[in-house]
Amino acid sequence: MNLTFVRKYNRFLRKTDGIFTHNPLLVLGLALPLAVIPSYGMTAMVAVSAAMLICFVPTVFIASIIGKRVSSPWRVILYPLISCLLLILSRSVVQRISVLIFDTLGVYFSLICVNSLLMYSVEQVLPKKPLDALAFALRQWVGASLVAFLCAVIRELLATGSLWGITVLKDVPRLPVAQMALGGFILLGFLAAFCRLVHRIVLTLTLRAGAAQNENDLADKERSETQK
Amino acid sequence: MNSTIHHAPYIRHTESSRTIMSDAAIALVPLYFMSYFYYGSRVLLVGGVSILTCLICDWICGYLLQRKLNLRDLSAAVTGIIISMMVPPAVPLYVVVAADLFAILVCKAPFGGTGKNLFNPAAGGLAFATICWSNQMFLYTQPLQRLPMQLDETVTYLQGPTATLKLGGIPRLGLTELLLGNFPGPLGSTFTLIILACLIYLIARRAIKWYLPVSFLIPVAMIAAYNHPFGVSPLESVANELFAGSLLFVAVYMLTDPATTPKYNISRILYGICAGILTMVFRYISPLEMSAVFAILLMNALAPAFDCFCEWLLPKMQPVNNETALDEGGNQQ
Amino acid sequence: MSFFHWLATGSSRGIYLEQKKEPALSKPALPFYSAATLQSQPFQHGFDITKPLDKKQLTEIAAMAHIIDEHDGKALAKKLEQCPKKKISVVCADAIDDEPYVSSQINPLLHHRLEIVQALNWLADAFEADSRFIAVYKNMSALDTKIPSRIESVEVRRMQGRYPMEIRAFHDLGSDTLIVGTAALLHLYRAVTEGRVQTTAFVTVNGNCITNPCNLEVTIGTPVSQLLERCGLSLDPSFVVEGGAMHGILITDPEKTAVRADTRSVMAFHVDRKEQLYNCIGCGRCIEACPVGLNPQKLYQCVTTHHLQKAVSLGLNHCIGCSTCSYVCPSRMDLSYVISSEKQKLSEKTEQ
Repeated sequence: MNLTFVRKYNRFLRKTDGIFTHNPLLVLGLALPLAVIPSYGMTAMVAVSAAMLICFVPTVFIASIIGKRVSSPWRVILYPLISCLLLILSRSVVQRISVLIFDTLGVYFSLICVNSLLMYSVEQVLPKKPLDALAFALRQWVGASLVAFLCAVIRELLATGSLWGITVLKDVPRLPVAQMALGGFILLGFLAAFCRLVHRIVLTLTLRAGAAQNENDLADKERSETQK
Repeated sequence: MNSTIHHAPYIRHTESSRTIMSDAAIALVPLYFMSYFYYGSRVLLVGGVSILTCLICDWICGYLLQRKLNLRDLSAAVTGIIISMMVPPAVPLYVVVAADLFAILVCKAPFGGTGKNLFNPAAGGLAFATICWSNQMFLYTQPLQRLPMQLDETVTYLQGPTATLKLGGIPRLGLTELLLGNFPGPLGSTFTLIILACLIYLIARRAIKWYLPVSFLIPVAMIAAYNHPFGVSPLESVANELFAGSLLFVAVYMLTDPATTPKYNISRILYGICAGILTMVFRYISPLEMSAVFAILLMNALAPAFDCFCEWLLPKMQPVNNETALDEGGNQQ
Repeated sequence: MSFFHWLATGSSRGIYLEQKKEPALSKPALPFYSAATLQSQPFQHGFDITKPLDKKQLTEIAAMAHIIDEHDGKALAKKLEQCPKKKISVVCADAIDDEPYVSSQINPLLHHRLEIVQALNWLADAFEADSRFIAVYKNMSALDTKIPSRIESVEVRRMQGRYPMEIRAFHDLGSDTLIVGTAALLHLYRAVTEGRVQTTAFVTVNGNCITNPCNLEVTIGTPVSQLLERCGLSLDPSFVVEGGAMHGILITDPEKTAVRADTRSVMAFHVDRKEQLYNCIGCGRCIEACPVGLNPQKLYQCVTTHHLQKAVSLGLNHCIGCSTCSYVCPSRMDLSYVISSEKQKLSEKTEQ
């Protein structure tokens, strides 16, 4: 691993800021109930993700356009209201995924309007330009959805051995607790720890690459001096 | 000859962590003998698998946490034995393995390993198994029948007297049957006479305090006697509640785990009393048969609160004695 | 201790230690003199010993004989000089050895009874004390010699209590008591009758790797290594300790460390260090053992995580350094060392 590769990798990380670094679910701990509890199955998770896309991203975009013209206490009320209006729109989209999903998930759809990820993003995009804010919101949404998707796949496989209702594993014993809230939170905790381990290993490799490069540079300098 | 790692005092008490752990293990092994007598050699298979899983898991976690292994630390083996004692003898092996893994990987290692856990790992593992496979955890078999190593169709499953009690019925078992554990029940937690003998051994070796199990059992007995069903004398009701399930086992082995109980005498007694009352409340209200384990888990979460309460209470109750103690300390400086 | 007290504090105010004093206690103290003792010249104090001696005369004799009291390490002459300012009503001979292995105060008492009692009587008459007694620790079991209840009509009072008892016993006696160690009394008797200067000290040599544990009457200034050779080492010791197994001082170089007048014991131990890798299991035995009623487990946590304010509010400055908590800890943690060193650091900081 040499330093050019490290530089490319760091550039990549900066571009995907909400997805791999500062992931809202694993690192920042935002919107946890939204991603943990509805992610018992792929259908529910896709529905919540779609609803979030429709409610969350436009709200953040509008927040960056309005900027600081609205003072602080009124902001807390304004953006959830906008998000609620958009939720009504999202209902028609979500109905196409599954007809009963709105009733099964009930309160979790309403939670999308006032979740912590929304409040965090709305404050973060105030100094940004609208296009940057849109990109930021999209990155956050992709990051949260990726992790929720991973959780949903694991939990549904462990608990019912099926994906989107189609049975995949037939003879493996089932673990029903994976579909409960208990299993969801524990799984998320272990995922966060695992990602932290991966991050540490990558950091160690990066540092080693830097140290190796340093030694090479010093050796080159000495050689050039002795040649002189 | 001299090293800087030795500090005063230079002599130590002969009791060490290893002796306490081995006392707990010694007090648990006789239950395997009795269980082998009732259920055959499958008992040893379940026990062996449980202990091995727990030990290997604990060693791996210890290596990951501290980068050095202490191979003499066998507290995970005690957890494995306790878990294997509370499951039915005809339980599939994956249930036991899942309970072990949950106990070590979620209840013990993330909190810091031996001695720093907040919840009793055995209780956590059993609660996990009960929630996941709640029907398989309560299917017992008739004792004095040899169980095959691989479970097949020859095994007939029965419900134990705890299910009868839960439905509001009266298990008509005589006192001898109850004390010997000669009814369908968990693998090793119903043999009352052996558990009482092991309790006396543990108290004599000062591994546990006598007032902890006593303060747990007295509220249970009182509530059971008060709420005896129609047609049953209070004493029979007390015997049924205390001996028909794993309550005595929980009181002796799981309530007295040193890492999770409070540290002061008065807070320990309050802890035992509250755990007893909570167990009886769970017995009457919850739909699951295993109520003592959940009561222990809830009280584990509240144990530091009992300690704080005791620390607040001590200076108020002992103004005179505290002054003399402070005076001595003040004089010694 | 009342039930209510037990219930409320959870502290038993100390622990009973296993006293392994035999066979050193019953053997008479063996002499181990060097040239300094054998060649010392007796002095003439010029007083008439057939008449009762008064305070000034005794103080002078003690000064001429350079007697040092091993009870607190002070010169006996100075102690006696300070006494006329307060009224002394009780004179006590200190023969309490409440630490395991140590018997350097009881041993002279048992084998030189008459001399010690005579010296005690002289002191008591000189100070016109109302009562006099000899204090001996009660909770010693498995002794080969029986401790008498009276020696020549002087009461031998058995002081009962758990370790650390010595500190508490003398605190209870009050400030009008004169406490003198038995070895100092013996030296005083010898100074009065024979004019001998104090050149020796009574030292117990014991431990689990000493072949012949015994009490020795050693010339002051003898290197500690000679003492160990005299008594024989059966195993290579891990460390050598001076002053008691519970709160003694580690000797780093036995060749260069010499016996002083108030050295009471030299002990050599061999320990297996592999038993020390355990974490705190939260058993609470240290809380039960602490005689002052502190919470050593919490104090240790606060000190190792550098929460010093919290440690002080929990009572860090009240620790008396008896090391009972470390003794009972099943995980063999160095509770007492960490807490005491932190307390010392804090007091140094406040002094500055």
